Amino acid sequence: MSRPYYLFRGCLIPTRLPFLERSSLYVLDKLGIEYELMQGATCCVEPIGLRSLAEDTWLVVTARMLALAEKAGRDILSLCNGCYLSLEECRQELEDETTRARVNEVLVDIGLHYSGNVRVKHFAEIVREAGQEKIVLLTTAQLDRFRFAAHPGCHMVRPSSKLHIDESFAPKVLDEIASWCGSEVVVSEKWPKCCGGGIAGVDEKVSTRMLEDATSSFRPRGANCILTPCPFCFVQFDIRQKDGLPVLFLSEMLALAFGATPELIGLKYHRTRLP
Amino acid sequence: MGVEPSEILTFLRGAAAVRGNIPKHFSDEAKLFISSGLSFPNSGMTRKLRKELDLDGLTVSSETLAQLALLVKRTRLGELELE
Repeated sequence: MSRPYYLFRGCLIPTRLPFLERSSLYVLDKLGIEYELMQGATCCVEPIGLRSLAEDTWLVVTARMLALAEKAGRDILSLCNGCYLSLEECRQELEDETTRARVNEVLVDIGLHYSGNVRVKHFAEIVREAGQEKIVLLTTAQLDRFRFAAHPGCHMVRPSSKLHIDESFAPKVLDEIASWCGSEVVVSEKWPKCCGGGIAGVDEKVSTRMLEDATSSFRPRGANCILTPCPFCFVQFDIRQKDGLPVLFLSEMLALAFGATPELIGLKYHRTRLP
Repeated sequence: MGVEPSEILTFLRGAAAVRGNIPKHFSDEAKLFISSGLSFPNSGMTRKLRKELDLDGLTVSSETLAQLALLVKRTRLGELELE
């Protein structure tokens, strides 16, 4: 049985890209998803930098989030690929009773306990579960001007042993959702490359080369916009990409399809100009 | 046998952090996380944008920060030299 959600916004979206939060809320309301903003949320202990410094800190801090959701009788809905990985991987680690007992020995000091009864969902997963019929019904605007390059980002599909929203080889969820909205995906990669966002703060030169490598085929293959569900990829594409190919976050595409005006969802805050 | 390459990398990165080999970007991020609960700053521009978009003020309560401080103290992040 479906439970209401705690909406986990993460850090990057609410601080630097709040317009992506605006479009996400619009879409969730249109879909009739029952949610409220997660009370007591902190950073998920993002998986590239923070987690690499202290694995045990990641485990207990992220477990705290799961415990808060469990206490509230809610599942967690993540707007961000990185947060999704962090929360879902922690949830899976805590399926092991020994690990869970060790973590609960720490959580008890802040009055919490986790029993292993929370599900973690990605925004794209919620949309896919809503289904083609509902998305088609809600779609009121023509989006046929877009010819998308679909870029799921690493942590919607990898590590494939742990994340199962989509296939890590030849992912298709974005293509499906875009087609339900009447738009076309013209670049759908078998093995989507990393955008380099994770190391942008450590080695900008390498990050830029990875970004160029990931996107170099998009425009020659006919794309006029990138579609992604990952805010870190969004930043790379919108701010750091030299080619200037515009980008839409998944929630923005859906909001536009559902009739939101560009003003309402803050498209003016994009650096790149949309078609 | 039975060990993923990513597990070896994770171990090595953790060991490097214990020895103080932490990229400045990550060290700054960790300090921000411990002090604010977030890994990106809630800046004046953030507040301006959120207000323009009719979004909430994005606050992390003192109770939440106190809980986070305790968890950090009980785990390895609390032991690292972040300067």
